[in-house]
Amino acid sequence: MTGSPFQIDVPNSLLQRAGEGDMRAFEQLYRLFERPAYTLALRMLGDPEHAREVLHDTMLKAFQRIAQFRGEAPFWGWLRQIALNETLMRLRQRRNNVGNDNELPDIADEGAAPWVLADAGALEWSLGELPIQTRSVIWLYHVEGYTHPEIADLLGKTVSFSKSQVARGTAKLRSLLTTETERDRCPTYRTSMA
Amino acid sequence: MSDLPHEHGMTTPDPTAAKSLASALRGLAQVQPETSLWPTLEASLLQRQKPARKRGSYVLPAALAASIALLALSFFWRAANAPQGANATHNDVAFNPAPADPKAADAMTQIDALRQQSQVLEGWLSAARNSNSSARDLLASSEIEDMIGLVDVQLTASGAQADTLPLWRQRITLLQDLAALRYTGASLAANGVSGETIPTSPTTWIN
Repeated sequence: MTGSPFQIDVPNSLLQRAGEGDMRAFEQLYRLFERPAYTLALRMLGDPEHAREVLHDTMLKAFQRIAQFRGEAPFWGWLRQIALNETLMRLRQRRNNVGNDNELPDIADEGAAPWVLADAGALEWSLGELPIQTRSVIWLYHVEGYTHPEIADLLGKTVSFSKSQVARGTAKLRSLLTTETERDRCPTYRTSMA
Repeated sequence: MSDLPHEHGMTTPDPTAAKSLASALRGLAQVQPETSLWPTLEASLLQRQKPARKRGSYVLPAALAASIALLALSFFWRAANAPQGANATHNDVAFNPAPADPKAADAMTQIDALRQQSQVLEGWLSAARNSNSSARDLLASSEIEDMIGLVDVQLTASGAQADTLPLWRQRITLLQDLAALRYTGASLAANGVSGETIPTSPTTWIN
């Protein structure tokens, strides 16, 4: 697991002050992890309001329990686990409300990688087009660096499920971005949209 | 990323493409809420850090009633935990064999005592549930119950006795606060005083 946006080194002195209830230390920790926690929740849930809730509840729980943090693992990993639990809790609630939204048709995942050329806006849009669970698995795998067995464990699914979600999601992203790129290149389409 | 699937009719993704997707996704800007949540969090944390100051704002009758309630509960708990003969003692030992480590034994004894105290308090609270409470007290009760739920979750997750003991102590403190709150509401209502006139009810209890 490397390269997670949460992977921020926190000085022991800051954690000690936070453990003693120093409000300024809490604020520094909040500022350090505000973006990683909110981004994780927003990318997985796709809803700014729910992402705000996750950020709020994550930080509140972390600060209430910080005295229990033993320092055996990095602080960022501890905090990320709380943020992920909060996000997954809402993911389960939403999945119950919207039913099974993870069925994607089989699409051959081959050819060029359009995300290499795509701009950030197009990539964010295509990510948002994925079913919520597929998007979550893609994010946990590619950005947070979780392995398939770890994702399967987090979601209460099989390793095979995690692998197929990554493959199908990748294929869907490829398809969406290819279409988007072709639209950008097509003068007729651009004129009609203007 | 060599473990991507062959099932479901999928072709094997190009590992280079997968790496570039990871790189592209990680390259997306990190985002933050439009407005900072820190002021809200700070207010919540400050409220939880200063229970003693707010308790001082209770009106005298409420404080007296709470003290009496705790005293009564204390007597009730002692009575309930009085020695009940040789059989009871023997059964306790049989179900809780003493560990070899004296510190662990002491922790286990304390946890057992706290667990029993918790049961007694819960019994009393069950009998006193929602008796003439003001809307404000009901809200405070609900918050305390949420906190007890949070402690229970941590107790379930906690394996080591070093973690369990402080959690049980915290649970007892919260139950005592809840008992005091319920008793105060009932006592004031019995004396014809509206709970709504009291400056604040314990949103003040959290350690």
